[in-house]
Amino acid sequence: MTKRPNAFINPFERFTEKKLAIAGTLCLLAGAILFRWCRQTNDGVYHIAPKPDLTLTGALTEAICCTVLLTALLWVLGKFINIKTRVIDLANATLIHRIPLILGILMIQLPVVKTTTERILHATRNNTIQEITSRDLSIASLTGLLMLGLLVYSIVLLVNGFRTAVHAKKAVHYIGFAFALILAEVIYRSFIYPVLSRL
Amino acid sequence: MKLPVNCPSCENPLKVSQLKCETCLTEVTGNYELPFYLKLSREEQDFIMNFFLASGSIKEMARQADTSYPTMRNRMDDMIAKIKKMTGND
Repeated sequence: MTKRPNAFINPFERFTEKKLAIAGTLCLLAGAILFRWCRQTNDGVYHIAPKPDLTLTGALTEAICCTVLLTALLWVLGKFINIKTRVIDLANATLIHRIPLILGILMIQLPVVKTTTERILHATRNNTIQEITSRDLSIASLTGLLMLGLLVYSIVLLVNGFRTAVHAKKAVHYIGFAFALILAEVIYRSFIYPVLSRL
Repeated sequence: MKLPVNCPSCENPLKVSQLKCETCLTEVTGNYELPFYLKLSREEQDFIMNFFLASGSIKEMARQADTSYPTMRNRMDDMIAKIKKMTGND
């Protein structure tokens, strides 16, 4: 009896590429709108920073560039591991793994989180740390933990998507995967984002 | 009834030692190899049968099993690797 794949941890084992591509594309669009609304820019594949003049086109271009770059690197690696690797499976993995990151952006926009962050930043800048209450610290800690959890979940999704797409089994495949992620971050930050930020 | 392919005691592959005609009750005794297909597990036999019935389409098999294409293709690759190992074609 074949075990039913867990759709929460590994949707790539269960859902067809069509369903995943539709969900991933919708989330990419929703993510771009959210980034524009929050005025947050993707200055790294896994890093955001405030950018007050961010346009919707800019947010969309950044999201597409991050996705295409990561997909391309994982696909090249996947072809080395397994010649049958399809680009659609890696594109889906890259698209879907951004969903928890988008939820993270949404979470830090909650009024209570935003106010707390501003209060802590203000106290740090003015050297009045004693004004920070235990409630502020609790909210900040909880937000940090949730963000970390979402980042871990996002990476778990990408690892599972990669494993399913390329049929990775050996430790060296996962080392290559980690290297591809680091390379994507370096390429995006060093070469792509400087060009995008000027547009 | 499921045909045992490995010895329940030492787990080595079993061989056919007796065949019987249900009509005239003639019995043939010998030392015959099990056909290759029967050496596979029941699940693996079902997989091959499903592949045949789906006209060799992994996509169709994935649809029937309600899984994704790469998952089915990976199962197929695992089975190919196992069969190659069993037949010494690795």
